Amino acid sequence: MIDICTISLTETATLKIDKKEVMRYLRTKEMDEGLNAIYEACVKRIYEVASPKAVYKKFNINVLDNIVDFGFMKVNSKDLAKNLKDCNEAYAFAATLGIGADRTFDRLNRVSQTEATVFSAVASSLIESFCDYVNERLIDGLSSKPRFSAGYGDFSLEHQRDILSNLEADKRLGIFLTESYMMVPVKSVTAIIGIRS
Amino acid sequence: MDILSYMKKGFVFFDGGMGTQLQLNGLKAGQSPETWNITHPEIITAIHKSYFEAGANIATTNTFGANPLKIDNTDEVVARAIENAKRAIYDKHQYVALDIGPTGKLLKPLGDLSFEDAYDAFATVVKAGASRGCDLIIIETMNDTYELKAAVLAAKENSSLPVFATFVLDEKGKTVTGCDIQAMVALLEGLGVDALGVNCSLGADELKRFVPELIKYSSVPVIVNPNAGMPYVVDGKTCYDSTPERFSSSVFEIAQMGARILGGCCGTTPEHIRLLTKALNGVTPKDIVKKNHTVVSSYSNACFFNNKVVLIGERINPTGKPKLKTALKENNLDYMVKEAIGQEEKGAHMLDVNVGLPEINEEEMLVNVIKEIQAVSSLPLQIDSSNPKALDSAMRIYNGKPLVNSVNGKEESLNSVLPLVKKYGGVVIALTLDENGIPNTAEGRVEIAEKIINRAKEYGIDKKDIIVDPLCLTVSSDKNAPSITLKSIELLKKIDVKVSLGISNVSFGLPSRDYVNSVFFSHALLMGLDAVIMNPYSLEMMKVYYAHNALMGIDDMCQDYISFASNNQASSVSTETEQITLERAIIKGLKKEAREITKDLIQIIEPLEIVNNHIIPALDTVGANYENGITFLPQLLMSAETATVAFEVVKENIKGEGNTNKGDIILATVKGDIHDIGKNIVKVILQNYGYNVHDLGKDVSPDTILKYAEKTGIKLIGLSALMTTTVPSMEETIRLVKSKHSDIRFMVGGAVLNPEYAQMIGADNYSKDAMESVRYAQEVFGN
Repeated sequence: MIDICTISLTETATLKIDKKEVMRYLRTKEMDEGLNAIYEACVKRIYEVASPKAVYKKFNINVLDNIVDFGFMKVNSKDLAKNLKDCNEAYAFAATLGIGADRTFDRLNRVSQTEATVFSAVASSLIESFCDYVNERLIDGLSSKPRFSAGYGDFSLEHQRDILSNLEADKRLGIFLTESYMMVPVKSVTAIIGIRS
Repeated sequence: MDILSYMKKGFVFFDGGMGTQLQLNGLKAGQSPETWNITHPEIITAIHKSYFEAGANIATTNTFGANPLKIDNTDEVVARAIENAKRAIYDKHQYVALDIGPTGKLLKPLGDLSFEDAYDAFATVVKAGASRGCDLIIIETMNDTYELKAAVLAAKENSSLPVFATFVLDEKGKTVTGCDIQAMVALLEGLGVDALGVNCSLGADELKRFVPELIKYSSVPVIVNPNAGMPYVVDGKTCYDSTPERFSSSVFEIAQMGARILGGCCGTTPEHIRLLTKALNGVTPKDIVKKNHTVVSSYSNACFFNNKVVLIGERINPTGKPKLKTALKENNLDYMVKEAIGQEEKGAHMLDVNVGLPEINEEEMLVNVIKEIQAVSSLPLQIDSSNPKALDSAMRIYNGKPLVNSVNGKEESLNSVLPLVKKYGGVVIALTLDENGIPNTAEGRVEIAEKIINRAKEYGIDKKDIIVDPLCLTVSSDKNAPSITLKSIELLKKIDVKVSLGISNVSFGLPSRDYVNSVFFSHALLMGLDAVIMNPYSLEMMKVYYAHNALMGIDDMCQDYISFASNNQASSVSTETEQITLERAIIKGLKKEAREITKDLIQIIEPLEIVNNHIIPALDTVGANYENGITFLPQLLMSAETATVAFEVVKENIKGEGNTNKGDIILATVKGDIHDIGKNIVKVILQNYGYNVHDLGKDVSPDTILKYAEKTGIKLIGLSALMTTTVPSMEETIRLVKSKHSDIRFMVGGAVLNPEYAQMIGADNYSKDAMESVRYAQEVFGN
């Protein structure tokens, strides 16, 4: 087993927020002046309150039929097995924007649903952007598979608990799981990245 | 010699990591380390012994995850763990600490564990350990102030053992839930822990940076138990872990900074501890200096009473505020939350919370309002009540070290309030009145202040935790009242006590009260006032505050003043009204314009006419555009919120004429689901269309919904669920309610639902969006 490693970004502004993606999350085709002002304010706000952090570990894996064995968990999933075909190793990572984004969202949610909705979309774009950053850092020239998360296809959401607990994501990143398998902070992601042999 | 006496003599050493040692002995990843207390007691004892032999004084029991939220047999595990540790003792000055780690869950409102359940989990561990001969309790690796408070209360209320507490910092020097060192120290000292500090997460090299701040604020011994380190990357730069040699030399430096209790956390071994204890052998630790800070805190930050006067927002207090009274009677917590956010945005440093009304249950309401406000505002709160039971419950669930308003010189008050301040840790406002009323001399008031300070001392409350309010009577009924108050402040500052004042009372009965208040405030500031309870919306008061700081040289380069002045200039210039209609303002989502236009219209048109001929048609246009894919959700919401602003202006002018309520609807996000944006969107739109929405919030149990429906007789319930994992609780809610009241109808929505799924779980309507819920409500109520 390879050692665990954490990544923090204190310079969040290096992460890009994709306006087109935000508009897609909002299911809107246009941004007039008023909405754009809210968008700009939310972008400014998320850069202030986000504290992107990730933790990752590399595992030797064994794929047999539909079972993927990570050592710390065995996953019965056709889709994940297909994704990890030809892989002997995989990264598991967890990433989050931190609880500050949740607090800001909760506050906006009490004052203005427009601002809360736009803020949430902007934060989603930022966590995606951070995951891309982490992903790139991990594969670093290796040939890898697209990242795959618990909850995709038949990769059961219940494995979220195994992944988070193996990475000690509560202690290292402050990611917690509720009884109904929701991650807090909301803008958190876990994923598996297969490395081609 | 007990641990507290031993601690006074010199350094105390904790052991190092348990997990790494267990893995060396064969513990597999994913196995519970706690079960090894039962299956491999000899290995556990041997590990403890190896740390004692390395020079550690404290063996930390192998009970980090032994709380009942993680394992089923807490009592047995704790009992065996303590036995295993005690068996390792072979010399004097070797102690056993009952180890309490976090629950692994995040507390409400961000997470789904209640404060009370967290307390119960910790209390179970404490009860299991307290009677079995351990020497102290160590609460460690804590990330969250609220969970930490639950743990410390559980430890202190269920044992008489010394309590040590350590928390985890990230590379920015904050906990992952956003609390800084000053606020952590304020909270823990308030709760009366015997030692406090940090552990885990970072290595000694990184933690070193934060130790001076811990020492600067803490009056109790400081603990530092770093990790051996692990690889981590900050902004692209990779750093690595430390060897026992590196570790011990870094911790040596930490000791020289003034930390007294030292040891290791993850990855540290007996060798780390051996080198550390060897390095510090014969070194005399720094003295522990008692600090004199008057400080309160919230979940994230501390507020100090020094230098700049602390502005305490007075708006959440029903006295003389009919709207707030109505909100309290209707259990409209949104009103209080908005009032809190508004005052924060105006620049308040703290908020007073008073919900005392004869016709409501003050204890329950105070708890609920504080829970709501501390979920959205990081300002520390001043808990304001004359009911000791309400104070007790509110101080208990407050997420930080509170300011308590108030105690006075009456026996009854001293005896009921001071014990609470001692127990929960707080700063208390002391009013200078007693059984004989308010003395009409400054000297008389100071005398009562001194009496309160002395009585507090008997309870173990420091003078620094008392802020005297010398009271201010109305100038219109007693022309000498203000000068007595000012004189009192002067005398109180001479006996070196902090002073606060509720300012607004001075102008009672006078016109343009702001003028009088602000000048009086300015005079009081010159006397040395430390805090003021005031209205942050008052521009006159804020002018005094910023100008005073600039003039007294406590506003560096006058930056705060300049920013205050420029903000206020900007707002007075931008009042030119554009020539647009109310309809257009709503369609374009222009709130400010909508408010102004509605105010103008109300002078010439009947209120209901504005609603029917201007607001509703605009909403219909927006709704139709949305349904036809011409506009989208954000625009719909902006319009809805703009309409809400217009409605508010209209409502203020209706004065009891006509009933605009089209029907009552319950909305809730189901149990297990802690996200409620979808529900809130539906709420705004339904309110726009004239429905009276009873919002029960998020994570609401089926039973709560049933009881509320029965109490109110409401026949339409809207439920939202975001995840497949929470749809079952939606189904359960519908089944429960319908089994008793088949005439109640349900509309449901949420990302994972569809019409078939909705029908399958027994809902009457699937609302694909907010507009559909309006349609369905119109169908149900026939309007």
